[in-house]
Amino acid sequence: MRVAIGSDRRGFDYKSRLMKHMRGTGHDPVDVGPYDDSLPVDYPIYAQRVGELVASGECDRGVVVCATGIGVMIAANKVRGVRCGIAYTDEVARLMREHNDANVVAFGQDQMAYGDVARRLDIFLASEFAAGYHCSRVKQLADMEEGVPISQTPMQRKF
Amino acid sequence: MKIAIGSDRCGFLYKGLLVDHLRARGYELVDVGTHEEVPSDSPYFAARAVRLVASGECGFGVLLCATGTGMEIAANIIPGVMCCIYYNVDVARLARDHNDCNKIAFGQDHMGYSDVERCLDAFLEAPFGGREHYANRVEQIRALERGESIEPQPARDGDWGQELRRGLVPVSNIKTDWMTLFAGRWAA
Repeated sequence: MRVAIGSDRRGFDYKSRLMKHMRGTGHDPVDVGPYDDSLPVDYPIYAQRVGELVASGECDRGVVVCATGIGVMIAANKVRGVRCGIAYTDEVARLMREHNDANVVAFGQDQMAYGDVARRLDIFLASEFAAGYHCSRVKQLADMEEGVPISQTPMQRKF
Repeated sequence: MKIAIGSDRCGFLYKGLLVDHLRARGYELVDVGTHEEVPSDSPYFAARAVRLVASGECGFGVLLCATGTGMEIAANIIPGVMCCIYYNVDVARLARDHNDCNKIAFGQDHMGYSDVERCLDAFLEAPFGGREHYANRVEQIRALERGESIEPQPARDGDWGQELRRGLVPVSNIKTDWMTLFAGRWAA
């Protein structure tokens, strides 16, 4: 799987390690930068590059890393076609694929241990969208990006 | 200050508890639903809450679903919204200080209620740090919303750039020492 990966200075270490990890598990990481961590950089630049590679279909998934994961997650979500969540537990890494069809995952280097991050990335890459009644919600997200008004789907039964 | 709050069925329980908590603390609340515990679309309720914040009617927004992810993705689609997701108290504070977030999402199935309450208080009380480089990045996100391409700004006036020009930092030290010199002052 081709995976775009980007960070800022405070996610640089995990970015380098995750790239090595993904090569080891048979994925093809595409590094959008930054390429050294000696200077402060703006996280929206790299989140946008990851977002655009994923939204255009050049990459299948994306990974963004900063200190908390918040900045890169927000910036990536601003790119049309990107659905990005923060994998703060293993379960959430799976559910964001199954329920939200997330195509980009965000991590916080200062707030998460590397072992957890690598494991959650594997879960994220291995999980698939569950479809079913989640489809209407993902469609609503696309409509919101286009500015189309959305309304509550009529439900036939209690789940 | 007015706060918009919304959830789907999976965040309904915490929403009720937080409404009581925030009212007791003197906040004025707009509960956009869901008002009954039946299956509901998270983007729909996220959009309702978020529009109140984007229009300036409410100062902050609080969103709940099972993981917080669906709410957060939907909210961030709307221009003007910076929605973070809470996973520890530091993050809640940093989301305000560094990212000027005006929305926070919680996951009822993955977070203890007392943690959520504590974190929400921290979030509502923390100010935006307002430092120049943070503000620049928030501006870049605004540009992304307009569909503009953003480029790196190599020669920007940051704290350390000004100090360099004033001669406060010997140039020879930059490569070796600058990480220690500016640790804590420059958050990426």
